[in-house]
Amino acid sequence: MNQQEFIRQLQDALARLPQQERQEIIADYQEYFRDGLAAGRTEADIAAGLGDPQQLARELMARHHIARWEDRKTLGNLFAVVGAIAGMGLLNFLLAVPFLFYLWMLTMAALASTGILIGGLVLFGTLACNELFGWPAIHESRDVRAIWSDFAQGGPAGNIHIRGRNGETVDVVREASSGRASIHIQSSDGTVSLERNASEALGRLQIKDETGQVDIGGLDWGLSRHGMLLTGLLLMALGAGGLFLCYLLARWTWRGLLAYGRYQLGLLDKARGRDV
Amino acid sequence: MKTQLKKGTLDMCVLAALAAGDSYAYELVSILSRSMEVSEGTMYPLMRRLQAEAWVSTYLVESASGPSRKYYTLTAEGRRQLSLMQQEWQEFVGDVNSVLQLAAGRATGETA
Repeated sequence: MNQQEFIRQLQDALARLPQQERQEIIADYQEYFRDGLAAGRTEADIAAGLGDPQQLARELMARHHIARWEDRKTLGNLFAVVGAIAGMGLLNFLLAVPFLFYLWMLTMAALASTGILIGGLVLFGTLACNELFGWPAIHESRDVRAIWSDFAQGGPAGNIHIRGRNGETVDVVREASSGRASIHIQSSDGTVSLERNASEALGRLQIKDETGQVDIGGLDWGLSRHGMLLTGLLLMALGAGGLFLCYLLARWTWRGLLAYGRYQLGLLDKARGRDV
Repeated sequence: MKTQLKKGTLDMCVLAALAAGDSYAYELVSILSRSMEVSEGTMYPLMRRLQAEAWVSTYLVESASGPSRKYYTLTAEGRRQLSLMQQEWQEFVGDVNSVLQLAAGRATGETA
C-alpha cells in the first residue's frame, strides 16, 4: 500500500467524523509519511509500520463517540457509541439487537415515570394552589355522596318502575338490607346505569348507545382533600422512584458499556503491541 | 510478559522523551526505537490519548519547505504525572530486584 492509498482509505473510513478532526488526523499521518520518506524509507514500508487504516479508523471513531457521549449524554450519542463498538466487530450484532431493545425499554420506562410524576405534581400543585389562593375550585364529591345517601335511606319506600310509550324504562331499585341501590334508564337511543355500592360510594357508571359504551367500575367518587393529597403524593413517589430506578439502571448500563468498550480498545492496543 | 510490561510503561517513556525536549511523532518513534521496539502504529493513538488526558499539548511549527509540523510538549500536569510514574517505576524495580537477589543468594547458598 502506498501513501495515497493509505490516506484515501483512512479518509473514507473517517467520513463521519467532523471535518476539522478528520483533517487533523489526516495531516498527522501525512506528516509522518513526509518524515519517513525524508529518512529514506519507502511509502509501502511506512504504511506497513502504521498498520491497517480501516482498523485505525474504527478505533478513532469509537474513541470519538465515547468522548462525545461523555461530553453530552444524549440518547443519540449513546446509540452512536454502541454502533461504533459494534462496528469494531467486537460486540456482535446478535448481542447489539437485544441491547438496543433494552435501551428502548429503559427510555419508555423513564418516559412513563416522568408522566406519573407530572400527574402527581399536577394533583398536588392544584391542591396546594387551592389551599393557598382558593383557586382553582375543587369539587369534592360530598354532594354526590349525600344525594346517594338520602336516596338510599329516605324517600318513598319500595322500588320505582316507570314505563314509557316507546319502550322507555326508568327503574330505581333499592335494597335496604345491603344498602345497594341502582338507577337504570333505558330508551331506544341507549342506556345509562348508575349503581351505588354498600359503602355509600358510586360503585359503577355505565353509559351505552349504538356507537359504543363507557363502563367504569370500582368507582369511589368520595375522593376528599385527603384522598387527593394522598393520591398526589403516591403518584409523585411512584414517578420519582421509577425515574430514580431508571437513572440507576442507565448509569449502571453506561458504566458497563464503557468498561466493555475500554476493554475492547485495550485488546486492540495489545493486539497491535504483538504486531511489533 | 515483555509486551504487557511495555504497554504499561510506554506512556512513561513517551513522557520522559518529551521531558528532554519538545518533539514530533516521527522523531519520538526514532528516539524510543533506539532503545526499545515500538510499533509505529501505536504512536498516534497514544499521543491522542495523552492529549485527551491533558498531559501533552501541541503546537505547529512552520517549516521553510512544505507544510508545518506538529510538535508535542509536556504540560505541567504531564510533568507531575511523569514524576509520579517514575517514582512508582523505581519502587517496583527495587522490589523486583531485591526478590531476584534473594532468590539468587539462596541458589548460590544451595550449590555451595
